[in-house]
This record gives sequence, C-alpha cells and structure tokens, in this order.
Amino acid sequence: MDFGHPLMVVTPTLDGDVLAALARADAEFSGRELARHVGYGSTEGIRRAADRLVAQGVVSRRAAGAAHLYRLNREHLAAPWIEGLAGLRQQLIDRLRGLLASWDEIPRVVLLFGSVARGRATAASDLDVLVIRRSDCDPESDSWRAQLAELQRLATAWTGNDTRVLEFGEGEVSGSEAKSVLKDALREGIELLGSRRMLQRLISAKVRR
Amino acid sequence: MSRRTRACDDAVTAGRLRRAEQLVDAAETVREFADDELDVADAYVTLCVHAGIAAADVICCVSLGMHAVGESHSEALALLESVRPDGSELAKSLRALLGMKTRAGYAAEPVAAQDRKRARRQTERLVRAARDRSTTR
Repeated sequence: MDFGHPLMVVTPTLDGDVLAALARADAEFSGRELARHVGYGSTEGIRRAADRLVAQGVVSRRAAGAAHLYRLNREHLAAPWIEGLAGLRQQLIDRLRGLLASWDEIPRVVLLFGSVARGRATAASDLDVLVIRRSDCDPESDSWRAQLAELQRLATAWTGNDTRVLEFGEGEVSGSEAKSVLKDALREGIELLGSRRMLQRLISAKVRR
Repeated sequence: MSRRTRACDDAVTAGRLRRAEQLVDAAETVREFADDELDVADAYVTLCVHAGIAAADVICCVSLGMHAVGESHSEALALLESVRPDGSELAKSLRALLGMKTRAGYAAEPVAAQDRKRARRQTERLVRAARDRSTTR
C-alpha cells in the first residue's frame, strides 16, 4: 500500500486523497484549505473532486460567503469504511504493537523506521522494522526465529509491502556497521515496543566502555 | 473555521514534533538527576505540559493542516477534539495537562506524586500520538 495515500488501495484518484483529508477531522474545510492539506493538485481540481463526492452524498457542502465549506458526512453508510481506510497507517502501528505484546520472548526495543515511518512509502517500498534483542535471548532459538518470521509474514500480508526485519542484540547496537541505520531509527522511528530513549541508552552505554 | 489558528506546513509540523520530544527528554532528565523528585516536581510538570501542547499542535497539523494559536485553552481543546478517530480522548489528556499548568507554575505547594505520574502518562500519550501520525522528522 501507499502510506501517504491510503485510499489508493481502492481508488487511484484525487478524490481518494480528498476523502482521506476530510476523514481525519470532524471539521469543515474550504477548497483552499483542502488543497493545502492534500498537498498537491490545484484548488479548482480539489473543489471539483469535493463536489463529485458531494454528489455521492458522502461529503456535505455549505456556502459561507463566496466560499464553500466541505465536511465528511459521517452519517453516510460509507463513512466508517472511509475513516477506516484513511487510518490504515495507524491501524498497522496498532496491530504491530498488539502482535509484539503477545510474544513470549519480548525484545528490548522494536521500532518502525524508514519510508513507512516517514509516511513516504509507496506500494513498492519496504516496511523496515528494527528489533533489538535482550541480552539473555538466544538469537538461534526456534521460538525466537518463529516470532520474527511471523512478524515478517503478517506485516507483509497486512500491507502488501515487503517487510524487512533488521535485528541486533542489545550488546552490539553500537557496532560500526549498525551506526547509520540506528541513527535513522532514533530520529524517525515509531515506537512499537520499548522506546527510542532506551535505544539511545543502549548505544551510549556501549560507547562508554 | 473561526478559531484562531495558524496553517502549518511540513517544517512547522517537524519543528513542533522536535520541540515536544526535546521537552519530554528535558522533563525526564530533570527527574532522573534530581536528588529528590519533589524538588523538581513543578519544573517536571511544566515541561510535560509544554511537551503536551507541542504534541497537540503536531496532531492538529497532520489532521487539520492547522494548529491553535493564542492563550485560549478552550479553542485548543476544541480543535484537538475535532481530530478523528481519537480526538476526544487526546483532548482529555491535554485538558488534564492544562489543568496542572497553573498549579505547577504558581501554587506554593509542589505538585503531588500522583499528579506527576498523571502528567507523565498524559504527555506520553500525546507525544506518542503525535509521533505515530507525523510523517515529517
């Protein structure tokens, strides 16, 4: 899926992005505000898209002086599905947190990073997950490997994006080959389990030795 | 919208997120290095409150393309409440933090331990929600 344009899973049009923008707030937007919020397309193009959605009843329109204000009609039968599609990224994050919370062998830190975390991922992007093992975890144990395989399989199935799990033990996080990617994860990582603060501590603790 | 708001672009959103995270880090550092947490309770809660406000701005920027400006708590809360799907819950967290703001800054008695925990919980919730939503770093 395209994380920046979640309604692309059903419609590759500007209308989908207008719906996604309207679904994220129970508020009225002028055509100009919508255009700025959607981030591309002309104001006129956005207004035409919004008017097409008004014709379907899923968006309401109200005159305010010379302008029209648009709002998602949350009483429409389709509204719950539109809201659901607009929130796919958060649903992925919540599902990943739920999955990790159910694991028998709990990692120290798990972060979602890369283009998905930055909201720039397209349908062709990888889904990058950083997993830091606890020091007492056997990285070769069947149970640990099965957990990681399940994470990889499920996250790929949930999104269609190839999931890459980058795994380190907590004692090796300051290794030279790891530094660059850890820096990225610290800056942009979304906390799925544990915290970036904890990861920073693990890195610092190693450096001081 | 008739509320006092400011439009935000990626730079504003990223800046407010950085501010929220810096304030959370500062709050935790203040707490960790204090000999007695009570000594720094007011400073801790004040930093949490400002982190929560910055996080609320990020959430509004992402969902509405604008954030509240000015001193009006009710306007900021109303704007956050309009965010879907969880604006009502997030507004409860911000409301709790704003309620502690005056007391932490001006009251003679330091903030009680229970309120410090509450401030931490509500701040973490808002900052996490901001980080989950934000696509700018």
